Amino acid sequence: MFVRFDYPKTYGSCVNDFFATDRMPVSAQYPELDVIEQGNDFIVTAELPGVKKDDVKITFENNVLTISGSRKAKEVPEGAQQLLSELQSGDFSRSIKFRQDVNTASMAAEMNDGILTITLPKAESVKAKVININ
Amino acid sequence: MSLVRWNPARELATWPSDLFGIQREINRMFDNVFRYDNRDDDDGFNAWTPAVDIAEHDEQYLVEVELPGVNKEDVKITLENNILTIRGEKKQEKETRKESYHRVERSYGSFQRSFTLPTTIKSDKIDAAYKDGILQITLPKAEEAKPKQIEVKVK
Repeated sequence: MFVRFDYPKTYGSCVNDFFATDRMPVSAQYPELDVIEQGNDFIVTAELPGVKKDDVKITFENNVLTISGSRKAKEVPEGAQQLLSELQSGDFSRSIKFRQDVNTASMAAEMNDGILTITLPKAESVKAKVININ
Repeated sequence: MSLVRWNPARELATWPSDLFGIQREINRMFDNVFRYDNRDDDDGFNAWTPAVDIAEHDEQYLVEVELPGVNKEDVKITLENNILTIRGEKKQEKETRKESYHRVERSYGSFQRSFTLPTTIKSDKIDAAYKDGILQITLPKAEEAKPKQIEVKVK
C-alpha cells in the first residue's frame, strides 16, 4: 500500500500545527502521536515502547508542546547474535503547536505500557460557556 | 505475496541528520515487495506490523515485539510446527468515545507476525513477559543445540 507522504508540509516548520493539518493521514515522524479533544482537555498520546520515563522530556513553551528524549540502544551481550533488528533507537523529538490556550499549571503526564499520555486542560478563556438568555 | 504498509516514520525519525534515510526508505519500499513475503499481512488494510528484534544467545533465543498500548490479554502466542506466531489486537481506549480527533498517527487493529524456529527449541519452556510496551519471548535451546566445550585430555 502506498501512503501519501507530504514532505514539505511535515518538515516545513518542524512544528505540527495540528489544527491546520487535520487531514494529513500519516506523519513521517517518530514517535507516532494521537491528539484528541475531550471535554475540557486535550489529550496527546505517544507510542514510546521500551523508553524509560526518565529518558523523556516534555516542555510547553509559547503554546508549543515538545516531547523529546532518547531510546537507548540495546546492548547485545558478547557471544549473542542479532538475527533481526527492527526496533529503533536514538534521539527523538516531536512538537505540536496549540492554537488554543492551555492551562499549563494543570498539565499532567503519565507513562503506561509504552504509551505516554499528556493531558492539557484548556484555559478558562477557551472553555465552552453556556450563556443564558435573560 | 502481500503488500506491506510503508511506515516512513521510523526511518525519518532522526531527520535532518539522516536525510539520506528517505532515499534508503524508498529503496527499501521497493525491496520489500519482493522480500517481505514472510510478513503475515492477510488482514489487509486493517493490519499493522509491529517491529521485532530477534537475538540468538548461547542458551536461548530472545524475541522482542513492540506492542505499545496493547493489553496482554489481547495477545496470543502460539507455536505450531516450529512456527512461532504472535497475533493480537490493539484496541482504542473505550472511554475516549465522546471526543474529536485532531490527529491519529498511531496504528490500531489486528496484527500478526510469524517466524520459523529451529527444531531445537524446548517448546515446553517458552516464556513471555510484557513490560513497557515490549513483549519479550524467551525460547530456550534444547541441550543438543547449546554450544559445547569438550575437554580432551592429552595422554
